Amino acid sequence: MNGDDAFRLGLIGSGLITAEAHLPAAIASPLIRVSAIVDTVPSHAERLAESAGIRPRISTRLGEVLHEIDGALIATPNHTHAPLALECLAAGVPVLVEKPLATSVREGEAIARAARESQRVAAVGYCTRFLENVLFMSTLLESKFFGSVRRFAYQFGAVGGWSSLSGFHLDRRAVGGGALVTVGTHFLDRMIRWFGYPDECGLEDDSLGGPEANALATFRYASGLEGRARFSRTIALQPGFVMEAERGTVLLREGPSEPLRFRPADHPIVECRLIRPGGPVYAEDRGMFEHQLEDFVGACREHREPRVSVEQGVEVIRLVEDLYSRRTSMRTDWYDAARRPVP
Amino acid sequence: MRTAVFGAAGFIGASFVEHLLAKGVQDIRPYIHSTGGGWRLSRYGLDLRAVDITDRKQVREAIDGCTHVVNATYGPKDVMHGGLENLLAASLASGVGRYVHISSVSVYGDCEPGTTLREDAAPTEELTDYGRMKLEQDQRVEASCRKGLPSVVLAPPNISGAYSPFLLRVLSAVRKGSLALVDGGQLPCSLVDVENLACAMERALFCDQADARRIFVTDGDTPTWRDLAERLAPLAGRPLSIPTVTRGQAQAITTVPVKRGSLSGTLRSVGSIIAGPSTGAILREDPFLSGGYRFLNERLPERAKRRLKALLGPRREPARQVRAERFDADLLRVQLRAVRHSSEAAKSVLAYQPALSFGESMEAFFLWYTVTHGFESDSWSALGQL
Repeated sequence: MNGDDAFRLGLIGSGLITAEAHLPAAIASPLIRVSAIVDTVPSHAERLAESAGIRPRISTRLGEVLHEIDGALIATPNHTHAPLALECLAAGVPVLVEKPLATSVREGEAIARAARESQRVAAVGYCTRFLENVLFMSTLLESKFFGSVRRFAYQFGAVGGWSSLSGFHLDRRAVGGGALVTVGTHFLDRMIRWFGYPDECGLEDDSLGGPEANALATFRYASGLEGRARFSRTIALQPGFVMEAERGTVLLREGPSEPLRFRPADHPIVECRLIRPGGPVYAEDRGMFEHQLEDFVGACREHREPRVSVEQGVEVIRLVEDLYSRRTSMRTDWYDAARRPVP
Repeated sequence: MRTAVFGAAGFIGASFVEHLLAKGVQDIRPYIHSTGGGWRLSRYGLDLRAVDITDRKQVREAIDGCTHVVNATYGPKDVMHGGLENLLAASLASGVGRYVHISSVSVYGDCEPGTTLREDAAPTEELTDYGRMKLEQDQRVEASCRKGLPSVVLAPPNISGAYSPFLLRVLSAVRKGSLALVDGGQLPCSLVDVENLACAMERALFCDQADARRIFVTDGDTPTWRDLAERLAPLAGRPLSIPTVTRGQAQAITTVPVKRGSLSGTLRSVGSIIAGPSTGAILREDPFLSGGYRFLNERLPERAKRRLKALLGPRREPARQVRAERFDADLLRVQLRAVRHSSEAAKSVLAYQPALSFGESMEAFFLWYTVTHGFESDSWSALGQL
């Protein structure tokens, strides 16, 4: 397509995630034409457009391009998501907002309300929901394939992380938290979809005023299901998910092409790879960002809910707020005995 | 007093900034290379600025107004050389009162095993790329010192403690079964806990002598490799059944013959064993050969000894896993060094006293690892299946 019928997408923010994920996905999709890039630093946007070989309109002000686009992808520092999304929706422009939807439930609900009132799509960028292993896990849980689930554990750890152009991720206010938000919300979103909203939760983190680098979240459900999730920006951990259920153990490493592994409880020496008989929901030769964008375009054109709705985005923020409201300090006293303050 | 710390996102730099914060020092300017690495310090709510030290203007602006500069940067050659030149030039131009540089014991190369090395020892001719780069850095710092920049150069051996990449590497090798202990693990493992190093760095900011002469910083007590392996084994989740190899076997594994299957290659392989760093120790212990070895060692001029060693000695190739072997060749090579480092100069020049012993250092690492990795938590064994 990519001609007159193409969906005119405005990229709001030309930082790292736009450069490495959203723009390549938009260019790869025959349904989409990038018609505008908005950034407060126009040279970033110009460089990005030039490197991609496209000639969209470059602007520093969202208001200047709203009448020229069919939808906006907002990929700016977290604390700016809400005002930008509200501006788009007020002008009747649908939005796909990078995760997290906003930095507070209040802001998230304002976006959801604006989407309802304007009858426009508001989707949230939890892109891992377009992965086959995540989707098939949902299907298997819904069909009670594993029997009752007893406990689960998840971890994601890497030394360092995205070097955002603006450095906003080093500012707790701009992030709306720390590692829990930047690396944890993808899992929180999936967890809510798989098991529902937890009945109890707790959090330990190592923040001393800034964004925490390490967080350990615990969850409890009325069914007796218990889970924990560890997120780190200072240590390397094999990222993945383990679930113990009545019929066996499920192992899923983090990643687009990782198989869903199952060890039946009655045959512990066997490990099976679980595959959907009819093939994946989304073609695996195209990336999750491309599927996410096309789902957004489809939702706008067909007037349907996107795969990740704004209400689901709000639920994740609510869980983040619940966790932070219960936070306790993680131990960091390994050198306390050796350090004595200078009088 | 305002202290600029370059390389603040790295292991040493971040540990030093944390040390200063714990001591109540407030006026710190931590500079990081890229924002992605700033997490460990950003949790304090610090104002972290990204500075590219290869950019002269950025460095000048960063140092402006600072009285003390600490360089804990590490990177490719342009950072280690061009970046260092920028730091030194800006420090000189700003009239910085003290420049503290982190060097390394690797600038001495592989010395005679079993010796206790002092700072005034001459570097060997065979240096790793890293050792050569650090040596050139030290020479640049010396040159700036002569121009009027009061400088302290600290040379740590392998660094242990919380966040230690070295310990994580050894732990990983223990877990995978790729750590072999040379001679039953009796060789010394020269270490400094990163908190002890931070104490020395803090002292270096104030000490009287700032002549850019290298100063070793160690824990004081030197454990053996078996001590280290025994401390790490519980974290590896396996009983201590670490294989051992002889020095000769370790030497063979760590030495890559230049031409396999050729006469010159064979001669060189034999020569590598004869002239290898552990051969001296073996010969000294032999009642028949020790006299001849002593004669050669004492009578031959240094230059002739170096030529002989270069002729017969192993060609040092970049550290790597030897595919045919199951053991980590780098860790064997580190063991073969078998050198202790005297921290007497640190004690006299810096009034340095290690805050932690080896045992306390390993306890700190154990606690850090347990907390951050969830070791022995409910989910530890489950996640271990990933």
